[in-house]
Amino acid sequence: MSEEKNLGSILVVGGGISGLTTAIEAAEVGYDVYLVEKNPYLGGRVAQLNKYFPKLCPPACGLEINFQRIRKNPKVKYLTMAEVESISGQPGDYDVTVKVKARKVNENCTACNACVEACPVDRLNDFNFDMDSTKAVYLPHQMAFPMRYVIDEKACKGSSCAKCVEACKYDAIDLEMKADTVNFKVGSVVWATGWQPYDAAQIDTLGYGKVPNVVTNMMMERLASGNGPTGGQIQRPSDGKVPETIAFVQCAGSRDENHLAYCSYICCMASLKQATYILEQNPEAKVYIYYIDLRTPGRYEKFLKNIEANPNVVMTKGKVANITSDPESGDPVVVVEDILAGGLIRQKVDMVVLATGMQPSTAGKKAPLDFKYDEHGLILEDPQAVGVYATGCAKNPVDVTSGVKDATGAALKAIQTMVRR
Amino acid sequence: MSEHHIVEPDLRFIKDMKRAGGDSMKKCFQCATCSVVCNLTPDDSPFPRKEMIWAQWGQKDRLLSDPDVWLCHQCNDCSKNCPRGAKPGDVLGAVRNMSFQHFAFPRFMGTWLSRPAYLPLVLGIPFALLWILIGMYGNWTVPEGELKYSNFLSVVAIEGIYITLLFLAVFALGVSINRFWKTMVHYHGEKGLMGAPVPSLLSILPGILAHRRFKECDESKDRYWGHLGIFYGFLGAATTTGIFTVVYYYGLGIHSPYPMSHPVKMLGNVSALSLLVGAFIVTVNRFKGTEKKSGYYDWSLIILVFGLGLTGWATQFIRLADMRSIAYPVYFLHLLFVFYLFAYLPYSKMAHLAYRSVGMVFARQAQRDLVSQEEIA
Amino acid sequence: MEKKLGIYICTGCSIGDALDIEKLTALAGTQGAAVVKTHEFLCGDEGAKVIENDISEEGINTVVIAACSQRVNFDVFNYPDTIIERVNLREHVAWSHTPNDEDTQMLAEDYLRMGVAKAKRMELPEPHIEEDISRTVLVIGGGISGLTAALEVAKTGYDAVLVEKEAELGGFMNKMHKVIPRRYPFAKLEDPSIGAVISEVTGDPNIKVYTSSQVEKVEGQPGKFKVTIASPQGAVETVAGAVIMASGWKPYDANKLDNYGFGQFPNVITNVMMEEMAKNGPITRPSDGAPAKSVAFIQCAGQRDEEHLPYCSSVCCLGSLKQATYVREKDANAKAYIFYKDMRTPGQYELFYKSAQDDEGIFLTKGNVTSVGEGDGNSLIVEVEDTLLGEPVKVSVDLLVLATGMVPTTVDDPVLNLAYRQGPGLPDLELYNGFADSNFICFPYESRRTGVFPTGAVKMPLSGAESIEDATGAALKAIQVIESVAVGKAVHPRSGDSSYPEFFLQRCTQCKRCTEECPFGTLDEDEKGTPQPNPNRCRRCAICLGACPERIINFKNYSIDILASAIKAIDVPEEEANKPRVIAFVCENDAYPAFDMAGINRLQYNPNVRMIPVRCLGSVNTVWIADSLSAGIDGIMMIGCKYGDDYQCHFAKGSELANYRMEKVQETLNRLVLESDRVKILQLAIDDYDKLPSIIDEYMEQLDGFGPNPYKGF
Repeated sequence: MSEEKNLGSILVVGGGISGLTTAIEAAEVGYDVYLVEKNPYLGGRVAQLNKYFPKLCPPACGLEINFQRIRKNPKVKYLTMAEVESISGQPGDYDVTVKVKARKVNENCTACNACVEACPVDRLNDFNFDMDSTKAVYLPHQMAFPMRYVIDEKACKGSSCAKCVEACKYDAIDLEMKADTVNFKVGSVVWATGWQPYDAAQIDTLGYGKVPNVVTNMMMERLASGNGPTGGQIQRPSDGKVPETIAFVQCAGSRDENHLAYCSYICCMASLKQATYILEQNPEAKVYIYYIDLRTPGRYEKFLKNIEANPNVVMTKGKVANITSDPESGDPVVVVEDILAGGLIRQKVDMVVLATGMQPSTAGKKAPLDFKYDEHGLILEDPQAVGVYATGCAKNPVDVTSGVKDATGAALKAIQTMVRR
Repeated sequence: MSEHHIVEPDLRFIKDMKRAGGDSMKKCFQCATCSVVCNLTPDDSPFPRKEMIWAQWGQKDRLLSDPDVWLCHQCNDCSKNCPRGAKPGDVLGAVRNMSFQHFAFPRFMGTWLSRPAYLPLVLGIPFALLWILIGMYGNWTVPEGELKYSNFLSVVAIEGIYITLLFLAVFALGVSINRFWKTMVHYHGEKGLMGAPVPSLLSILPGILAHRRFKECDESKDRYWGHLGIFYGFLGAATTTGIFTVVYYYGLGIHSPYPMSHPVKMLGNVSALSLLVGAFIVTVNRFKGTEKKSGYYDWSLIILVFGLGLTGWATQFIRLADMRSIAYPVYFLHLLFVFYLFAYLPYSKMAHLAYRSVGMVFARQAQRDLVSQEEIA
Repeated sequence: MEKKLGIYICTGCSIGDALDIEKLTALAGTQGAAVVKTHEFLCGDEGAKVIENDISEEGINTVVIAACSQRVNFDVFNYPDTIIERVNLREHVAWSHTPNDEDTQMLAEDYLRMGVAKAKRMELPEPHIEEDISRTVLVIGGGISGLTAALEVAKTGYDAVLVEKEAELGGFMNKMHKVIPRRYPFAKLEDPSIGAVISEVTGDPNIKVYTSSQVEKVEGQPGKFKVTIASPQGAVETVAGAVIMASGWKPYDANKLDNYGFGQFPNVITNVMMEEMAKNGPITRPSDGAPAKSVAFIQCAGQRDEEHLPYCSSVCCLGSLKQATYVREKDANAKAYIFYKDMRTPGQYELFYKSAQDDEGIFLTKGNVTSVGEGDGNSLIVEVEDTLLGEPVKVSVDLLVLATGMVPTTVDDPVLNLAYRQGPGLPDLELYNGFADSNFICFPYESRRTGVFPTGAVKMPLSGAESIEDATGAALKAIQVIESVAVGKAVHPRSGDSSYPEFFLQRCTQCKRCTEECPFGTLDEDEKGTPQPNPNRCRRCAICLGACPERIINFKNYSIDILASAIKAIDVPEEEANKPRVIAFVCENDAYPAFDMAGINRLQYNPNVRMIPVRCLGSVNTVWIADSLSAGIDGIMMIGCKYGDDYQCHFAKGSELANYRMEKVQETLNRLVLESDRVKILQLAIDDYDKLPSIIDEYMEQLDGFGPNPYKGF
């Protein structure tokens, strides 16, 4: 790590676990890295997770180490609320333009929370999938890195209110702050914009948004998280009841050419993991898991075995293709064929979790690069590519470990571009 | 645990199935979405998931003896929701087509009607037969005076040949259906069956007449009107022909043509209209894609319906308009279509009238249809 | 270095509202500081400048910043060549305790004294830099993973030495007839491209290849591993900076699968045998050489079975779909049956499943194969239950392929042959069924031997494409460790740390605890048992420091003395004051941030606990416990990471060792007629912050029952 020598710079787009890894691993070889993240915090999707499978350890633990690595390494420069607008040039020499949105809270912020106490406006909390709200000025989440507040431009009443400005002793709030454009040069680019949960409302048979208490697996992560909308108590949204019976609907949108033709890799393990959340809080709860194939590759098998052994977990081969409301109680009823037994089941439960899959963020807005995409927006890997690379769930739905491995490799490819120069 | 069933996939059957409209069947990965979204399946051993794997595994006997195949009215809710594009609706349609072939008496007829390759033969026979008949009993030149089709070919000749045909067809169909019934009984046993066939038939008849099952469809609700039109069109046309032949011609000795205001005549015209409207809806649906797959069996029937309806109507209007030059050729065509309808009844998609009814009767007796399920409950 | 101490107290973020700053400043004034200043916004430009000016103008070189957590404003309070100690008055005091309360004030004062005591004894670390660092990477194994790793290393401008035990490079990939598609649309089988990779490797001047060779011995440390290779030409010695272990897998021994007739019927073969047969020609029955017109595949032939391999081999479903596909490609009339438990084609491989199954002659069903027997004329009868066909079935086939699983080479071979005190291989692999895997989800390249990176199928069952990805990352990690040790810095998780343990060997009693307990096998021993440090292997966790009964292992900025002085700096009130004092040694990676989170959430907890952050709970030396108790401290909490099979300790064994050692401490306490539960080990995850108040309350309640430390005041 020769700090004197300038070995070259790398642009990493996306500050989730993949992008973070690429950035840190490259920086620890001695390269300068610009990490560009569109959210006001780093950590991406994993920051929203309660636990990782199969160890059931908190994602914040690994993120903390990675943030420590960033703290100690000035070679990683990160921009939050930032999106890459354009990239031009050739391998070894790219001009990058990044648009940084107005956070309206400057670096003076000490995270003391006085602004929140003063703010009169509420906004839905997208970090918790709108299951609760925050003030218009807020900390993105309790373990956010950087630990700095942000103002929701849409919710804030602006200078006519300015109660937060008065409350802040540190002149940290600047309601007039404007979006900024940043330009810099890099030698290579790694695109790691990750994924978003597939929109469950697109699956019309599964009742999401129509049948009460049908939630997605990502919502379940927030419901189970200590810093989630319910303080970690799993309750159903309609009435706050602690669910006694829960159905997991696997392949909700995945392995389905009407939605996502690929398998999202993580949903089986995620549901098994979420079963442990439920059973830990309520060992008497009954958990139903409906699947096409249980996919717990490698040593994940052990996790499956452990959960299978619990008599309160019922696993049924068959895909739920219909969810309705029970006419009397309003509870969701899942309809599925128990294929091995050969009969249709109508199971009334307190709550349904749709194991929705991972859709690449590039399904919508594409990267300002010459990537090719499949029909779902996954970036197609080009083994001949030099200078620009894709990694993580932007190119293939994977679990955290596989994503981190690939991101580490992507750091090497980015470095090789510089070596070649 | 029952005995292990020796499974020997029938590759030829798989190929035939694919040709008969089931070419997507291998895509199924057995998730059972189809069984769940189907509004016509019973809860116990639901269809069409199990039929899909039987089809994939070339389990010919299983499929051809399966009454559930006939409970399916091809709403295509399953095909629409299938995550793999395996189109169970089409695959079950293919099984039904395969049944016409498999149970056909005589068997070669089933083969003839299953593939376009045999079409010249299938059309050539009635063409030649009619030609010979006209040579013997008819006349291509239109005589002076009122335009009468009986001058072209005598009613007796037509009736003679067509009534014979009809009887033969009904006989062949009877033999085929008997084979079908026996196969079902062979595989499912008589033990589980409840009640006798005739009362069962009577009990399902109102449902058939009301097209109740079509109404259960979510995906292709329009099919209800299409099928209803064709169904009652044929029923009306058959009634018209029956009344004219039996009551007026032989009974009362009143000969055609009849005035337009004649009630039976009116029934005939309404029936033709119904046929055409039904066929039109069905065709439009096919192009819209609400009926996903259309094979040879389907198009043959649609063309037949259009042909019957159009030529039937045309002969009447030509007569009224006194368009002598084209009158006989059009009538000839009409006779050709009627021949096709009668002679090939047991082997074409028309046969589903019998197969489906019998399949449904069996299903009713085996308590596999929803109504009997409700009764049990 | 002559120390000139400056103490800076921030009064912002309600610190000033919660504490008597005047009193605190007065206390700071008694601490021997050259400068004591307060500021209402220390992390602001102006505040940070104050410190900066004092450093440059006043010659302040040791700074105690009493403000917020060390986890924030790290970039603001960053003064090069200056000893910096952060005292957390915000999250751990003002935000989590009653404002303007006597106990809160005492807490702040103790923290200030402790910080000063530490700062006074801390020194700036100087990196340990070895000369002649090797920039060559040793790659063990010449399969797809090893070849990829060597190539990627070479492409980055480093040298590689590749050692393959077989005469040919390419491993299993070289024996394959076809490979599963690696790229979108994942539809068609591909021809193996391993040949091109092999020629790229053999043609690369920066890669030295040894075939028919084995690594006999690896000694030394990252940056300068001395490697002995047993080659056909005799022993070769070379030096490498890092090691990539890509020794791959072997098929599970099918002879153990007698329930499927392997060994009994010649027409029962394994998937590996199938691949070889297909590569060499038509698919036939071994019994009579007749063409195999029907082939059945049994998935999970041993996998997912406690009796055989408890794990799933991840690639066998794909492998059988591939083999079924080429059975059909080779003979359009052949039939292929696949009996699976669950069809596992994760991610985009689903598209391959979709395309492979769309074949008239491939028959798939879930099912359990219950028996394999002989049928007519060399055929086999396979009976299957719980099928999707609604009934048990049996099929008659010419050939039965058992989709056997992968067994890592490390299951019975250390592969590395490390000349290390702790043994030749990677430790504790039984946790991973013998695979050389990482225990860390977020850090898959973590290994218990610094500078050694397992990759590919020796680490976990992987497909070829996944192995390539994994090996590319391993190449980066190998290069990274070389570049890190070249400048004397630690690698993950204490990346960039240039402190390292120093041994005062004159007082060493050769008890070997340090050499045995280091989770990374850093220390070797001479004949007498004296530890021989290898600083480049060290991860700076200080578990050796915690282990040493003679207290001779210390870091410049983390030592027995530094923390002992912090303990002594705590003002222990008289027994009559009825103010118990508890020390909590907290893991700075997880427990410390959890306390920060508690503060951020304004959770209130007992103010009688003094927190001392430690590098790892395993770095807690029992002398600190003894010091604490003799100083009159009433109780000691040790809050660290979860241990056991799913340990969360970033240094693998730290919290487990702490627990083990504390059991001994508790025994000692019992002998001293002190309640053993005065010392308590607690496992806490970073997100358990909401539980902290009740955890502390519970402990305090228990302590209350014991009464005050009888040694108080002695």
